[in-house]
Amino acid sequence: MSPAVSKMAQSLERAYTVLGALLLVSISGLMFVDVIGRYFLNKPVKGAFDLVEALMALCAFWFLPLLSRDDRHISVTLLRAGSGMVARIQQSLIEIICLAVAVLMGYGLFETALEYQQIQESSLILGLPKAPFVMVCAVVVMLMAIAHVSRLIRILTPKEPAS
Amino acid sequence: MSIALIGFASVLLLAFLGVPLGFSMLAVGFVGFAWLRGLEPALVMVPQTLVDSSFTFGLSVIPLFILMGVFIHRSGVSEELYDTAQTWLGHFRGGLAHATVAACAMFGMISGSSLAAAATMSKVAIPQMRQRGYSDSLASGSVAAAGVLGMLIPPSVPLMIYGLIADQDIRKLFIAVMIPGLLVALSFIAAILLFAVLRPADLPVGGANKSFREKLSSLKGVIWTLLLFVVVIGGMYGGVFTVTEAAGIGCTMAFFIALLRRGMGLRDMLDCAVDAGKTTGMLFMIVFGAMVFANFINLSGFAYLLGEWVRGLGLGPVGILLAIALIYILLGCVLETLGLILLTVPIFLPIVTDFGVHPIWFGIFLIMMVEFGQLTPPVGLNVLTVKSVVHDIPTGKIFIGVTPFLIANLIIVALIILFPDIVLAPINWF
Repeated sequence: MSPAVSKMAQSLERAYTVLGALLLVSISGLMFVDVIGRYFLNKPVKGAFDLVEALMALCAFWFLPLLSRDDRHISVTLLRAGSGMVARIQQSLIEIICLAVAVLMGYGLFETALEYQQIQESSLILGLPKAPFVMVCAVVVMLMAIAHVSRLIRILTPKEPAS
Repeated sequence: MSIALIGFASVLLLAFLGVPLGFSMLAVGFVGFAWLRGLEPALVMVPQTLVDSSFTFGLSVIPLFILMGVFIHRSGVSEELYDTAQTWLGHFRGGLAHATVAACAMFGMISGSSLAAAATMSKVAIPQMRQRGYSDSLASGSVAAAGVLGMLIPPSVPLMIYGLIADQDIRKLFIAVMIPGLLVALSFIAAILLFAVLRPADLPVGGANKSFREKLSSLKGVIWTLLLFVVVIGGMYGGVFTVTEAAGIGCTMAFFIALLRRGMGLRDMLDCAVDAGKTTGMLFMIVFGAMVFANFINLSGFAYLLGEWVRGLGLGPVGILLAIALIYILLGCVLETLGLILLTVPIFLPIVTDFGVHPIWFGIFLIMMVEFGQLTPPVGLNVLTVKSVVHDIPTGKIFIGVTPFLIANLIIVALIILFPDIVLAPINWF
Protein backbone atom coordinates (compact mmCIF):
# COMPACT_ATOMS: atom_id res chain seq x y z
CA MET A 1 0.00 0.00 0.00
CA SER A 2 1.43 3.39 -0.97
CA PRO A 3 2.02 5.94 1.83
CA ALA A 4 -0.70 8.25 0.46
CA VAL A 5 -3.31 5.49 0.39
CA SER A 6 -2.23 4.28 3.82
CA LYS A 7 -2.54 7.81 5.22
CA MET A 8 -5.99 8.21 3.70
CA ALA A 9 -7.08 4.86 5.14
CA GLN A 10 -5.87 5.97 8.57
CA SER A 11 -7.77 9.25 8.34
CA LEU A 12 -10.93 7.43 7.26
CA GLU A 13 -10.60 5.00 10.13
CA ARG A 14 -10.06 7.86 12.59
CA ALA A 15 -13.16 9.66 11.25
CA TYR A 16 -15.18 6.44 11.48
CA THR A 17 -14.06 5.83 15.07
CA VAL A 18 -14.77 9.42 16.14
CA LEU A 19 -18.23 9.22 14.58
CA GLY A 20 -18.91 6.06 16.59
CA ALA A 21 -17.74 7.76 19.77
CA LEU A 22 -19.99 10.73 19.05
CA LEU A 23 -22.97 8.40 18.61
CA LEU A 24 -22.45 7.06 22.10
CA VAL A 25 -21.80 10.47 23.65
CA SER A 26 -24.90 11.85 21.94
CA ILE A 27 -27.09 9.16 23.55
CA SER A 28 -25.74 10.17 26.94
CA GLY A 29 -26.15 13.89 26.24
CA LEU A 30 -29.65 13.46 24.86
CA MET A 31 -30.72 11.42 27.87
CA PHE A 32 -29.23 14.02 30.25
CA VAL A 33 -30.93 16.96 28.54
CA ASP A 34 -34.22 15.05 28.41
CA VAL A 35 -34.12 14.23 32.14
CA ILE A 36 -33.16 17.80 33.12
CA GLY A 37 -35.82 19.17 30.80
CA ARG A 38 -38.48 16.82 32.14
CA TYR A 39 -37.81 17.20 35.86
CA PHE A 40 -36.70 20.82 36.18
CA LEU A 41 -38.21 22.71 33.24
CA ASN A 42 -41.20 20.50 32.51
CA LYS A 43 -40.00 20.39 28.89
CA PRO A 44 -38.69 16.97 27.86
CA VAL A 45 -36.99 16.59 24.49
CA LYS A 46 -39.71 15.72 21.99
CA GLY A 47 -39.08 12.30 20.47
CA ALA A 48 -36.05 11.55 22.67
CA PHE A 49 -37.25 7.96 22.90
CA ASP A 50 -37.21 7.56 19.09
CA LEU A 51 -33.82 9.22 18.73
CA VAL A 52 -32.21 7.12 21.46
CA GLU A 53 -33.62 3.95 19.90
CA ALA A 54 -32.20 4.79 16.47
CA LEU A 55 -28.82 5.89 17.86
CA MET A 56 -28.70 2.75 19.99
CA ALA A 57 -29.17 0.55 16.93
CA LEU A 58 -26.27 2.31 15.17
CA CYS A 59 -24.12 2.01 18.31
CA ALA A 60 -24.79 -1.72 18.61
CA PHE A 61 -23.34 -2.34 15.14
CA TRP A 62 -20.86 0.51 14.69
CA PHE A 63 -17.76 -0.97 16.28
CA LEU A 64 -18.20 -4.53 14.93
CA PRO A 65 -15.86 -4.00 11.91
CA LEU A 66 -13.07 -2.71 14.18
CA LEU A 67 -13.52 -5.64 16.56
CA SER A 68 -13.36 -8.09 13.65
CA ARG A 69 -10.27 -6.45 12.19
CA ASP A 70 -8.45 -6.59 15.53
CA ASP A 71 -9.77 -10.08 16.43
CA ARG A 72 -11.31 -8.72 19.61
CA HIS A 73 -14.65 -10.53 19.66
CA ILE A 74 -15.29 -12.58 22.80
CA SER A 75 -13.82 -16.06 22.21
CA VAL A 76 -13.07 -19.13 24.29
CA THR A 77 -10.12 -20.64 22.33
CA LEU A 78 -9.62 -23.80 24.38
CA LEU A 79 -8.62 -25.95 21.41
CA ARG A 80 -6.73 -23.49 19.24
CA ALA A 81 -3.63 -24.90 17.54
CA GLY A 82 -0.43 -23.00 18.26
CA SER A 83 1.33 -22.57 14.94
CA GLY A 84 2.07 -24.25 11.61
CA MET A 85 -0.21 -25.63 8.94
CA VAL A 86 -2.90 -26.92 11.36
CA ALA A 87 -3.16 -23.50 12.98
CA ARG A 88 -3.48 -21.83 9.58
CA ILE A 89 -6.24 -24.20 8.49
CA GLN A 90 -8.06 -23.70 11.79
CA GLN A 91 -7.66 -19.93 11.58
CA SER A 92 -8.93 -19.92 7.98
CA LEU A 93 -12.01 -21.95 8.94
CA ILE A 94 -12.75 -19.54 11.80
CA GLU A 95 -12.54 -16.57 9.42
CA ILE A 96 -14.73 -18.32 6.82
CA ILE A 97 -17.44 -19.00 9.43
CA CYS A 98 -17.25 -15.39 10.70
CA LEU A 99 -17.41 -14.15 7.10
CA ALA A 100 -20.47 -16.30 6.36
CA VAL A 101 -22.22 -15.00 9.49
CA ALA A 102 -21.35 -11.39 8.62
CA VAL A 103 -22.68 -11.80 5.06
CA LEU A 104 -25.85 -13.42 6.39
CA MET A 105 -26.38 -10.52 8.81
CA GLY A 106 -25.57 -7.86 6.22
CA TYR A 107 -27.76 -9.42 3.53
CA GLY A 108 -30.66 -9.80 5.96
CA LEU A 109 -30.38 -6.21 7.17
CA PHE A 110 -30.16 -4.94 3.60
CA GLU A 111 -33.35 -6.82 2.65
CA THR A 112 -35.08 -5.54 5.79
CA ALA A 113 -34.06 -1.95 4.96
CA LEU A 114 -35.60 -2.31 1.49
CA GLU A 115 -38.77 -3.76 2.98
CA TYR A 116 -38.99 -0.92 5.53
CA GLN A 117 -38.50 1.53 2.69
CA GLN A 118 -41.44 -0.02 0.82
CA ILE A 119 -43.84 -0.07 3.76
CA GLN A 120 -42.59 3.33 5.03
CA GLU A 121 -41.80 1.90 8.48
CA SER A 122 -41.24 4.78 10.89
CA SER A 123 -40.82 5.56 14.57
CA LEU A 124 -43.79 6.21 16.85
CA ILE A 125 -43.40 9.82 17.94
CA LEU A 126 -41.21 11.63 15.41
CA GLY A 127 -42.21 9.49 12.44
CA LEU A 128 -38.49 8.95 11.77
CA PRO A 129 -38.08 6.57 8.81
CA LYS A 130 -36.34 3.37 9.95
CA ALA A 131 -35.03 2.24 6.56
CA PRO A 132 -31.96 4.55 6.42
CA PHE A 133 -30.85 3.46 9.89
CA VAL A 134 -31.19 -0.23 9.05
CA MET A 135 -29.35 0.41 5.77
CA VAL A 136 -26.45 2.01 7.66
CA CYS A 137 -26.35 -1.04 9.96
CA ALA A 138 -26.26 -3.28 6.85
CA VAL A 139 -23.34 -1.31 5.40
CA VAL A 140 -21.46 -1.46 8.71
CA VAL A 141 -21.96 -5.23 8.90
CA MET A 142 -20.66 -5.52 5.34
CA LEU A 143 -17.55 -3.64 6.49
CA MET A 144 -17.22 -6.33 9.14
CA ALA A 145 -17.40 -8.95 6.37
CA ILE A 146 -14.62 -7.10 4.52
CA ALA A 147 -12.51 -7.17 7.71
CA HIS A 148 -12.86 -10.98 7.78
CA VAL A 149 -11.98 -11.24 4.07
CA SER A 150 -8.83 -9.22 4.69
CA ARG A 151 -7.90 -11.40 7.68
CA LEU A 152 -8.49 -14.52 5.59
CA ILE A 153 -6.26 -13.22 2.80
CA ARG A 154 -3.54 -12.45 5.33
CA ILE A 155 -3.74 -15.97 6.75
CA LEU A 156 -3.67 -17.61 3.31
CA THR A 157 -0.79 -15.49 2.02
CA PRO A 158 1.79 -15.42 4.80
CA LYS A 159 4.72 -13.08 4.34
CA GLU A 160 7.90 -14.71 2.99
CA PRO A 161 10.65 -14.56 5.58
CA ALA A 162 13.21 -11.88 4.68
CA SER A 163 16.25 -13.40 2.97
CA MET B 1 -34.93 -32.64 21.79
CA SER B 2 -31.98 -34.27 20.03
CA ILE B 3 -31.65 -31.44 17.48
CA ALA B 4 -31.38 -28.92 20.32
CA LEU B 5 -28.71 -31.02 22.03
CA ILE B 6 -26.81 -31.23 18.75
CA GLY B 7 -27.17 -27.44 18.54
CA PHE B 8 -25.69 -26.96 22.02
CA ALA B 9 -22.84 -29.35 21.27
CA SER B 10 -22.13 -27.53 17.99
CA VAL B 11 -22.00 -24.13 19.68
CA LEU B 12 -19.59 -25.43 22.30
CA LEU B 13 -17.43 -27.18 19.70
CA LEU B 14 -17.22 -24.11 17.46
CA ALA B 15 -16.51 -21.87 20.45
CA PHE B 16 -13.76 -24.17 21.76
CA LEU B 17 -12.20 -24.25 18.31
CA GLY B 18 -11.92 -20.48 18.46
CA VAL B 19 -14.96 -19.19 16.55
CA PRO B 20 -16.10 -16.10 18.52
CA LEU B 21 -19.04 -16.99 20.74
CA GLY B 22 -21.55 -14.62 19.12
CA PHE B 23 -20.75 -15.96 15.65
CA SER B 24 -20.98 -19.58 16.85
CA MET B 25 -24.42 -19.07 18.37
CA LEU B 26 -25.71 -17.10 15.38
CA ALA B 27 -24.44 -19.68 12.86
CA VAL B 28 -25.86 -22.67 14.75
CA GLY B 29 -29.11 -20.84 15.53
CA PHE B 30 -29.60 -20.01 11.85
CA VAL B 31 -28.79 -23.53 10.61
CA GLY B 32 -30.97 -25.15 13.31
CA PHE B 33 -33.90 -22.83 12.58
CA ALA B 34 -33.55 -23.48 8.83
CA TRP B 35 -33.45 -27.23 9.52
CA LEU B 36 -36.71 -27.10 11.48
CA ARG B 37 -38.60 -24.46 9.51
CA GLY B 38 -36.90 -24.05 6.14
CA LEU B 39 -34.36 -21.63 4.70
CA GLU B 40 -36.71 -18.77 3.87
CA PRO B 41 -38.20 -18.34 7.35
CA ALA B 42 -34.66 -18.52 8.78
CA LEU B 43 -33.53 -15.76 6.41
CA VAL B 44 -36.39 -13.60 7.69
CA MET B 45 -35.87 -14.51 11.35
CA VAL B 46 -32.20 -13.46 11.53
CA PRO B 47 -32.50 -9.80 10.42
CA GLN B 48 -35.77 -9.37 12.31
CA THR B 49 -34.03 -10.55 15.47
CA LEU B 50 -31.11 -8.19 14.82
CA VAL B 51 -33.41 -5.22 14.30
CA ASP B 52 -35.61 -6.06 17.30
CA SER B 53 -32.57 -6.51 19.53
CA SER B 54 -30.86 -3.29 18.49
CA PHE B 55 -33.74 -0.80 18.07
CA THR B 56 -34.50 -1.01 21.79
CA PHE B 57 -34.62 2.02 24.05
CA GLY B 58 -34.01 -0.09 27.17
CA LEU B 59 -30.73 -1.43 25.81
CA SER B 60 -29.16 2.03 26.00
CA VAL B 61 -28.48 1.39 29.71
CA ILE B 62 -25.68 -1.00 28.74
CA PRO B 63 -23.37 1.36 26.80
CA LEU B 64 -24.21 4.25 29.11
CA PHE B 65 -23.26 2.43 32.31
CA ILE B 66 -20.15 1.08 30.56
CA LEU B 67 -19.22 4.63 29.50
CA MET B 68 -19.84 5.88 33.05
CA GLY B 69 -17.41 3.24 34.34
CA VAL B 70 -14.76 4.18 31.76
CA PHE B 71 -15.04 7.92 32.55
CA ILE B 72 -14.76 7.38 36.28
CA HIS B 73 -11.92 4.89 35.85
CA ARG B 74 -9.98 7.42 33.74
CA SER B 75 -10.53 10.02 36.44
CA GLY B 76 -8.15 7.96 38.59
CA VAL B 77 -10.40 7.21 41.55
CA SER B 78 -9.28 3.57 41.88
CA GLU B 79 -6.00 4.36 43.67
CA GLU B 80 -7.84 6.66 46.07
CA LEU B 81 -10.48 4.02 46.79
CA TYR B 82 -7.71 1.63 47.78
CA ASP B 83 -5.89 4.24 49.87
CA THR B 84 -9.06 5.08 51.77
CA ALA B 85 -9.86 1.41 52.40
CA GLN B 86 -6.28 0.88 53.54
CA THR B 87 -6.46 3.83 55.97
CA TRP B 88 -9.55 2.35 57.63
CA LEU B 89 -8.63 -1.35 57.55
CA GLY B 90 -4.84 -1.49 57.21
CA HIS B 91 -4.15 -1.99 60.94
CA PHE B 92 -5.89 -5.39 61.07
CA ARG B 93 -3.97 -8.60 60.37
CA GLY B 94 -4.36 -9.05 56.64
CA GLY B 95 -5.59 -5.47 56.47
CA LEU B 96 -4.44 -4.91 52.89
CA ALA B 97 -6.46 -7.93 51.72
CA HIS B 98 -9.51 -6.54 53.55
CA ALA B 99 -8.83 -3.18 51.92
CA THR B 100 -8.74 -4.88 48.52
CA VAL B 101 -12.19 -6.37 49.08
CA ALA B 102 -13.57 -3.02 50.27
CA ALA B 103 -11.99 -1.12 47.37
CA CYS B 104 -13.35 -3.63 44.82
CA ALA B 105 -16.82 -3.31 46.38
CA MET B 106 -16.61 0.48 46.05
CA PHE B 107 -15.27 0.14 42.52
CA GLY B 108 -18.30 -2.06 41.78
CA MET B 109 -20.54 0.86 42.75
CA ILE B 110 -19.38 2.79 39.70
CA SER B 111 -18.46 0.02 37.28
CA GLY B 112 -20.46 -3.04 36.34
CA SER B 113 -17.50 -5.07 35.18
CA SER B 114 -15.60 -7.58 37.28
CA LEU B 115 -12.68 -7.61 34.82
CA ALA B 116 -12.22 -3.84 35.11
CA ALA B 117 -12.16 -4.18 38.91
CA ALA B 118 -9.64 -7.06 38.80
CA ALA B 119 -7.37 -5.32 36.27
CA THR B 120 -7.38 -2.01 38.14
CA MET B 121 -6.89 -3.43 41.62
CA SER B 122 -4.14 -5.81 40.45
CA LYS B 123 -1.99 -2.82 39.58
CA VAL B 124 -2.79 -0.96 42.79
CA ALA B 125 -3.06 -3.64 45.49
CA ILE B 126 -0.84 -6.63 44.60
CA PRO B 127 2.53 -4.79 44.58
CA GLN B 128 1.77 -3.29 48.01
CA MET B 129 0.65 -6.64 49.46
CA ARG B 130 3.73 -8.43 48.15
CA GLN B 131 5.98 -5.70 49.49
CA ARG B 132 4.42 -6.10 52.95
CA GLY B 133 5.00 -9.89 52.94
CA TYR B 134 1.61 -11.29 51.93
CA SER B 135 1.84 -14.66 50.18
CA ASP B 136 1.55 -14.49 46.39
CA SER B 137 -1.47 -16.77 46.32
CA LEU B 138 -3.43 -14.67 48.83
CA ALA B 139 -2.40 -11.33 47.30
CA SER B 140 -3.39 -12.34 43.76
CA GLY B 141 -6.32 -14.56 44.80
CA SER B 142 -7.96 -11.84 46.88
CA VAL B 143 -7.81 -9.37 43.98
CA ALA B 144 -9.15 -11.88 41.43
CA ALA B 145 -11.97 -12.94 43.75
CA ALA B 146 -12.91 -9.47 44.99
CA GLY B 147 -13.11 -8.36 41.36
CA VAL B 148 -16.37 -10.30 40.99
CA LEU B 149 -18.00 -7.80 43.33
CA GLY B 150 -18.14 -5.56 40.26
CA MET B 151 -20.87 -7.91 38.96
CA LEU B 152 -22.69 -8.14 42.27
CA ILE B 153 -23.01 -4.51 43.21
CA PRO B 154 -25.21 -2.33 41.00
CA PRO B 155 -24.84 -1.18 38.26
CA SER B 156 -23.99 -4.71 37.07
CA VAL B 157 -23.66 -5.31 33.31
CA PRO B 158 -24.47 -9.07 33.44
CA LEU B 159 -27.55 -8.32 35.53
CA MET B 160 -28.73 -5.75 32.97
CA ILE B 161 -28.30 -8.35 30.23
CA TYR B 162 -30.30 -10.86 32.29
CA GLY B 163 -33.04 -8.27 32.83
CA LEU B 164 -33.28 -7.64 29.11
CA ILE B 165 -33.38 -11.26 27.96
CA ALA B 166 -35.60 -12.45 30.81
CA ASP B 167 -37.85 -9.39 30.45
CA GLN B 168 -37.40 -8.42 34.11
CA ASP B 169 -37.35 -4.96 35.67
CA ILE B 170 -33.67 -3.92 35.89
CA ARG B 171 -34.41 -1.55 38.76
CA LYS B 172 -35.85 -4.42 40.80
CA LEU B 173 -32.85 -6.57 39.93
CA PHE B 174 -30.51 -3.82 41.14
CA ILE B 175 -32.46 -3.58 44.40
CA ALA B 176 -32.53 -7.36 44.86
CA VAL B 177 -28.79 -7.80 44.35
CA MET B 178 -27.79 -5.27 47.01
CA ILE B 179 -27.93 -7.51 50.12
CA PRO B 180 -26.43 -10.62 48.44
CA GLY B 181 -23.65 -8.37 47.08
CA LEU B 182 -22.92 -7.04 50.57
CA LEU B 183 -23.07 -10.55 52.02
CA VAL B 184 -20.56 -11.83 49.47
CA ALA B 185 -18.23 -8.91 50.29
CA LEU B 186 -18.55 -9.69 54.02
CA SER B 187 -18.01 -13.40 53.37
CA PHE B 188 -14.77 -12.53 51.55
CA ILE B 189 -13.65 -10.55 54.62
CA ALA B 190 -14.56 -13.58 56.76
CA ALA B 191 -12.54 -15.83 54.43
CA ILE B 192 -9.49 -13.59 54.93
CA LEU B 193 -9.98 -13.71 58.72
CA LEU B 194 -10.14 -17.51 58.54
CA PHE B 195 -7.01 -17.48 56.39
CA ALA B 196 -5.31 -15.44 59.13
CA VAL B 197 -6.17 -18.12 61.70
CA LEU B 198 -5.25 -21.14 59.58
CA ARG B 199 -2.19 -19.77 57.76
CA PRO B 200 -0.94 -16.79 59.73
CA ALA B 201 2.35 -16.77 57.84
CA ASP B 202 0.49 -15.76 54.67
CA LEU B 203 -0.82 -12.54 56.22
CA PRO B 204 1.47 -10.20 58.11
CA VAL B 205 0.19 -8.17 61.05
CA GLY B 206 -1.30 -4.83 60.19
CA GLY B 207 0.39 -1.42 60.32
CA ALA B 208 -0.22 1.31 62.87
CA ASN B 209 -3.82 2.32 63.43
CA LYS B 210 -4.43 5.70 61.81
CA SER B 211 -5.96 8.52 63.83
CA PHE B 212 -9.64 9.31 63.43
CA ARG B 213 -8.73 12.63 61.81
CA GLU B 214 -6.61 10.80 59.18
CA LYS B 215 -9.44 8.37 58.59
CA LEU B 216 -11.94 11.15 58.09
CA SER B 217 -9.59 13.02 55.82
CA SER B 218 -9.08 9.88 53.69
CA LEU B 219 -12.79 9.93 52.84
CA LYS B 220 -12.03 12.73 50.41
CA GLY B 221 -10.82 9.96 48.12
CA VAL B 222 -14.21 8.28 47.93
CA ILE B 223 -16.43 11.34 47.92
CA TRP B 224 -16.87 11.35 44.12
CA THR B 225 -17.64 7.65 44.00
CA LEU B 226 -20.20 7.98 46.78
CA LEU B 227 -21.77 11.04 45.18
CA LEU B 228 -22.17 9.25 41.86
CA PHE B 229 -23.53 6.14 43.57
CA VAL B 230 -26.02 8.09 45.69
CA VAL B 231 -27.34 10.08 42.72
CA VAL B 232 -27.50 7.21 40.23
CA ILE B 233 -28.42 4.20 42.33
CA GLY B 234 -30.16 6.23 45.06
CA GLY B 235 -32.19 8.08 42.44
CA MET B 236 -33.15 4.79 40.85
CA TYR B 237 -34.01 3.05 44.15
CA GLY B 238 -35.99 6.10 45.27
CA GLY B 239 -38.02 6.04 42.07
CA VAL B 240 -36.74 9.50 41.02
CA PHE B 241 -35.24 8.17 37.75
CA THR B 242 -35.91 5.20 35.53
CA VAL B 243 -32.90 2.94 34.91
CA THR B 244 -32.21 4.50 31.50
CA GLU B 245 -32.46 8.01 32.90
CA ALA B 246 -30.13 7.06 35.75
CA ALA B 247 -27.65 5.70 33.21
CA GLY B 248 -27.74 8.95 31.20
CA ILE B 249 -27.38 11.11 34.31
CA GLY B 250 -24.60 8.91 35.70
CA CYS B 251 -22.68 8.97 32.46
CA THR B 252 -22.82 12.75 32.18
CA MET B 253 -21.95 13.20 35.87
CA ALA B 254 -18.99 10.82 35.50
CA PHE B 255 -17.76 12.89 32.56
CA PHE B 256 -17.88 16.10 34.63
CA ILE B 257 -16.13 14.37 37.55
CA ALA B 258 -13.36 13.26 35.18
CA LEU B 259 -13.24 16.78 33.74
CA LEU B 260 -12.87 18.37 37.18
CA ARG B 261 -10.34 15.86 38.52
CA ARG B 262 -8.15 15.23 35.53
CA GLY B 263 -9.01 18.06 33.19
CA MET B 264 -10.31 15.58 30.65
CA GLY B 265 -10.32 17.11 27.19
CA LEU B 266 -12.38 16.39 24.09
CA ARG B 267 -9.84 13.86 22.82
CA ASP B 268 -9.90 11.95 26.15
CA MET B 269 -13.67 11.97 26.13
CA LEU B 270 -13.75 10.49 22.65
CA ASP B 271 -11.14 7.88 23.62
CA CYS B 272 -13.34 6.83 26.54
CA ALA B 273 -16.36 6.64 24.24
CA VAL B 274 -14.41 4.49 21.75
CA ASP B 275 -13.41 2.16 24.61
CA ALA B 276 -17.00 1.89 25.77
CA GLY B 277 -18.23 1.54 22.17
CA LYS B 278 -15.94 -1.42 21.53
CA THR B 279 -17.08 -3.14 24.72
CA THR B 280 -20.67 -2.46 23.67
CA GLY B 281 -19.98 -4.02 20.26
CA MET B 282 -18.52 -7.14 21.89
CA LEU B 283 -21.59 -7.51 24.11
CA PHE B 284 -24.06 -6.91 21.29
CA MET B 285 -22.48 -9.46 18.96
CA ILE B 286 -23.05 -12.05 21.68
CA VAL B 287 -26.57 -10.76 22.32
CA PHE B 288 -27.39 -11.05 18.59
CA GLY B 289 -26.02 -14.59 18.44
CA ALA B 290 -27.84 -15.61 21.62
CA MET B 291 -31.16 -14.19 20.44
CA VAL B 292 -30.97 -16.10 17.15
CA PHE B 293 -29.90 -19.26 18.99
CA ALA B 294 -32.75 -18.82 21.49
CA ASN B 295 -35.25 -18.64 18.61
CA PHE B 296 -33.97 -22.00 17.37
CA ILE B 297 -34.07 -23.54 20.86
CA ASN B 298 -37.61 -22.24 21.47
CA LEU B 299 -38.75 -23.63 18.12
CA SER B 300 -37.26 -27.03 18.94
CA GLY B 301 -39.41 -27.21 22.08
CA PHE B 302 -36.31 -28.13 24.08
CA ALA B 303 -37.15 -26.09 27.19
CA TYR B 304 -40.61 -27.69 27.39
CA LEU B 305 -39.29 -31.23 26.90
CA LEU B 306 -36.45 -30.67 29.36
CA GLY B 307 -38.97 -29.30 31.85
CA GLU B 308 -41.14 -32.40 31.45
CA TRP B 309 -38.10 -34.60 31.92
CA VAL B 310 -37.02 -32.71 35.03
CA ARG B 311 -40.54 -32.92 36.49
CA GLY B 312 -40.43 -36.67 35.87
CA LEU B 313 -37.34 -36.92 38.06
CA GLY B 314 -39.42 -35.89 41.06
CA LEU B 315 -36.91 -33.33 42.32
CA GLY B 316 -38.25 -30.41 44.34
CA PRO B 317 -37.31 -26.79 43.63
CA VAL B 318 -34.20 -27.05 45.83
CA GLY B 319 -33.08 -30.21 44.01
CA ILE B 320 -33.55 -28.47 40.66
CA LEU B 321 -31.61 -25.42 41.83
CA LEU B 322 -28.75 -27.58 43.10
CA ALA B 323 -28.63 -29.41 39.76
CA ILE B 324 -28.60 -26.07 37.92
CA ALA B 325 -25.88 -24.77 40.24
CA LEU B 326 -23.76 -27.80 39.42
CA ILE B 327 -24.31 -27.24 35.68
CA TYR B 328 -23.23 -23.60 36.07
CA ILE B 329 -20.09 -24.60 37.95
CA LEU B 330 -19.19 -27.09 35.20
CA LEU B 331 -20.09 -24.84 32.25
CA GLY B 332 -18.42 -21.90 33.98
CA CYS B 333 -15.12 -23.74 33.63
CA VAL B 334 -15.30 -23.43 29.86
CA LEU B 335 -17.61 -20.51 29.03
CA GLU B 336 -17.34 -16.84 29.88
CA THR B 337 -20.04 -14.97 31.82
CA LEU B 338 -22.15 -13.49 29.08
CA GLY B 339 -22.18 -16.58 26.88
CA LEU B 340 -23.15 -18.64 29.89
CA ILE B 341 -26.04 -16.35 30.76
CA LEU B 342 -27.37 -16.00 27.24
CA LEU B 343 -27.04 -19.68 26.43
CA THR B 344 -28.73 -20.99 29.57
CA VAL B 345 -31.40 -18.49 30.62
CA PRO B 346 -33.86 -19.38 27.81
CA ILE B 347 -33.63 -23.02 28.97
CA PHE B 348 -33.54 -22.77 32.75
CA LEU B 349 -35.82 -19.79 33.41
CA PRO B 350 -39.07 -21.44 32.20
CA ILE B 351 -38.23 -24.59 34.17
CA VAL B 352 -37.52 -22.87 37.48
CA THR B 353 -40.47 -20.48 37.21
CA ASP B 354 -42.68 -23.55 36.71
CA PHE B 355 -41.43 -24.68 40.11
CA GLY B 356 -42.44 -21.38 41.66
CA VAL B 357 -39.01 -19.72 41.65
CA HIS B 358 -39.25 -15.93 41.27
CA PRO B 359 -37.48 -14.72 38.08
CA ILE B 360 -35.83 -11.83 39.97
CA TRP B 361 -34.47 -14.28 42.55
CA PHE B 362 -33.24 -16.54 39.76
CA GLY B 363 -31.38 -13.60 38.18
CA ILE B 364 -29.42 -13.00 41.39
CA PHE B 365 -28.74 -16.73 41.84
CA LEU B 366 -27.57 -16.88 38.23
CA ILE B 367 -25.13 -13.98 38.65
CA MET B 368 -23.71 -15.55 41.81
CA MET B 369 -23.24 -18.84 39.98
CA VAL B 370 -21.63 -17.37 36.87
CA GLU B 371 -19.16 -15.63 39.18
CA PHE B 372 -17.64 -19.05 39.68
CA GLY B 373 -16.76 -19.22 36.02
CA GLN B 374 -14.72 -16.03 36.44
CA LEU B 375 -12.55 -17.79 39.00
CA THR B 376 -12.34 -21.46 37.98
CA PRO B 377 -9.76 -23.05 35.64
CA PRO B 378 -9.07 -23.16 32.76
CA VAL B 379 -10.79 -19.95 31.55
CA GLY B 380 -11.37 -18.06 34.81
CA LEU B 381 -11.17 -14.62 33.24
CA ASN B 382 -10.60 -12.71 36.49
CA VAL B 383 -7.67 -14.98 37.31
CA LEU B 384 -6.25 -14.59 33.81
CA THR B 385 -6.68 -10.81 34.04
CA VAL B 386 -4.70 -10.71 37.27
CA LYS B 387 -2.09 -12.97 35.68
CA SER B 388 -1.78 -10.57 32.72
CA VAL B 389 -0.84 -7.79 35.16
CA VAL B 390 1.47 -9.77 37.49
CA HIS B 391 3.37 -12.06 35.16
CA ASP B 392 5.66 -13.59 37.77
CA ILE B 393 2.93 -15.26 39.87
CA PRO B 394 2.09 -18.72 38.42
CA THR B 395 -1.55 -19.07 37.31
CA GLY B 396 -1.92 -22.17 39.50
CA LYS B 397 -1.06 -20.12 42.59
CA ILE B 398 -3.77 -17.59 41.76
CA PHE B 399 -6.33 -20.37 41.31
CA ILE B 400 -5.30 -21.76 44.74
CA GLY B 401 -5.59 -18.25 46.19
CA VAL B 402 -9.22 -17.83 45.05
CA THR B 403 -10.38 -21.15 46.55
CA PRO B 404 -11.35 -19.83 50.02
CA PHE B 405 -13.35 -17.07 48.34
CA LEU B 406 -15.17 -19.58 46.13
CA ILE B 407 -16.19 -21.51 49.23
CA ALA B 408 -17.36 -18.28 50.89
CA ASN B 409 -19.42 -17.47 47.80
CA LEU B 410 -20.99 -20.96 47.86
CA ILE B 411 -22.09 -20.42 51.45
CA ILE B 412 -23.91 -17.23 50.43
CA VAL B 413 -25.55 -19.07 47.52
CA ALA B 414 -26.76 -21.69 50.01
CA LEU B 415 -28.09 -18.90 52.23
CA ILE B 416 -30.14 -17.31 49.45
CA ILE B 417 -31.55 -20.73 48.51
CA LEU B 418 -32.56 -21.37 52.12
CA PHE B 419 -33.81 -17.82 52.71
CA PRO B 420 -35.04 -16.38 49.39
CA ASP B 421 -36.30 -13.28 51.19
CA ILE B 422 -32.69 -12.08 51.43
CA VAL B 423 -33.15 -11.33 47.74
CA LEU B 424 -36.87 -10.70 47.43
CA ALA B 425 -37.79 -8.71 50.54
CA PRO B 426 -35.86 -5.52 49.61
CA ILE B 427 -37.92 -5.20 46.40
CA ASN B 428 -40.88 -4.21 48.58
CA TRP B 429 -38.86 -1.72 50.57
CA PHE B 430 -38.44 0.73 47.69
